Amino acid sequence: MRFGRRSPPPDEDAFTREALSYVDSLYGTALRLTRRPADAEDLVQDTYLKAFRASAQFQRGTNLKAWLFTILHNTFRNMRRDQGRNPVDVDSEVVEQAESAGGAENPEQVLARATLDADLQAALDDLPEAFRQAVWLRDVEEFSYAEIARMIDVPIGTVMSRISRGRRMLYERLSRMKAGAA
Amino acid sequence: MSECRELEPLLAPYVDGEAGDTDCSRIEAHVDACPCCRGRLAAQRAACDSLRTRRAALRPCAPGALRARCAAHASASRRARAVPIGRRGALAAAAMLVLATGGFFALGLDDRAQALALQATIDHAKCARFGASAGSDDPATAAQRWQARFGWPLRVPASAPEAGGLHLRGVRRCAVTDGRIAHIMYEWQGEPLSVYVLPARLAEESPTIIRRFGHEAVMWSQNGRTYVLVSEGRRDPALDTVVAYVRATAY
Repeated sequence: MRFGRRSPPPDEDAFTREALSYVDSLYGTALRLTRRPADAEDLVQDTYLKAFRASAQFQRGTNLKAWLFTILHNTFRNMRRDQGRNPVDVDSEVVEQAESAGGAENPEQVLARATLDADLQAALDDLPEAFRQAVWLRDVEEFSYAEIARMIDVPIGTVMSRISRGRRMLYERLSRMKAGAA
Repeated sequence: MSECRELEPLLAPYVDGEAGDTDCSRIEAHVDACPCCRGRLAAQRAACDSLRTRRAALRPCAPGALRARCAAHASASRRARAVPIGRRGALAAAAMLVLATGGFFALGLDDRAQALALQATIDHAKCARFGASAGSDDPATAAQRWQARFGWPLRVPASAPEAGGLHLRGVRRCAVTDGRIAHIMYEWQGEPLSVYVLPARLAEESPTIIRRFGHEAVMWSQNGRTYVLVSEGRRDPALDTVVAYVRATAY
């Protein structure tokens, strides 16, 4: 049996086009979360599957990218829960103590030398997950604090704290890389 | 020191220009007097600038095949919305009934092969209409991932132009069976076609046709596995070439 097809309404086309334009951003974020290309691809596919199914629930005029990212993070949390792992199993205090303040060098000078993208990628990947996620969403994907809080389902104060600490840890890692290379 | 800890979360919004006036004044007064926090603030700015100026390089490009699969989900969702509501309801109700009762005896089926065909037909209809994530469309990768995840080997017949343009979309687990049944998803003559594989012998070796809910399933067993091939609507004679191809290339 063949079922009849109909032309999608114009705004559905626009929704689809805009949604698909974020595939690189979603994939990059999925890769940061899962660290495995195959898992990242599965996560992005599941995100689009859910988004297209639930497109009627999206409020036109609101931020579609943030909506897709919220679906991605929810899907990732469920995936991790199914695997019996806690996605934000981070004791901030322990991390705080372990991450003692770095040397007294001028930060701009350090980072000016650590300009290799590969170094930056490696330093970012080395951050504890919760901090990496917050910094990535803010500084690379340019979401607001409130949007990030909704996405990862934590209070906005926690988001600020993770971004502040995450950036500092990133700087410290880059400083160590620079020191190691010297 | 306690003020240092208290103020650190506010450094990010301060660097981003989003801190309120009161917080700005507190931070500035504190940083003037605290070299440690002055360093932290500079580190914040440096890390932030470094990330922002390298955004493009940090974002990887999604693989082309992934883009295509995501775009296909949009089409599948549109197809789902084109299904008459009455039929969708009937399929959902049947699925619920089968699921709620374990799928075997609720509809008077006392034969496990028949029940498997029924389950496969319902799953196929749901996936075809409501869309399903198919994973990799590379047969070797899909087979490898399947074995890694579910512990039993699966041979995935590749796309085959000679079998009426059979196109592999990927492999998923049949959601209700928790990895006991593999669902190999294809597109054939513009419509979804499914091959379900159960690692047990439940049927005869010669293919049998089973009709359920307006779909036709072809079922057979070979080498300790049972296969159920489900296509759309009335049986097309050309489907025999697909059955022959799957029989020749599967375990």
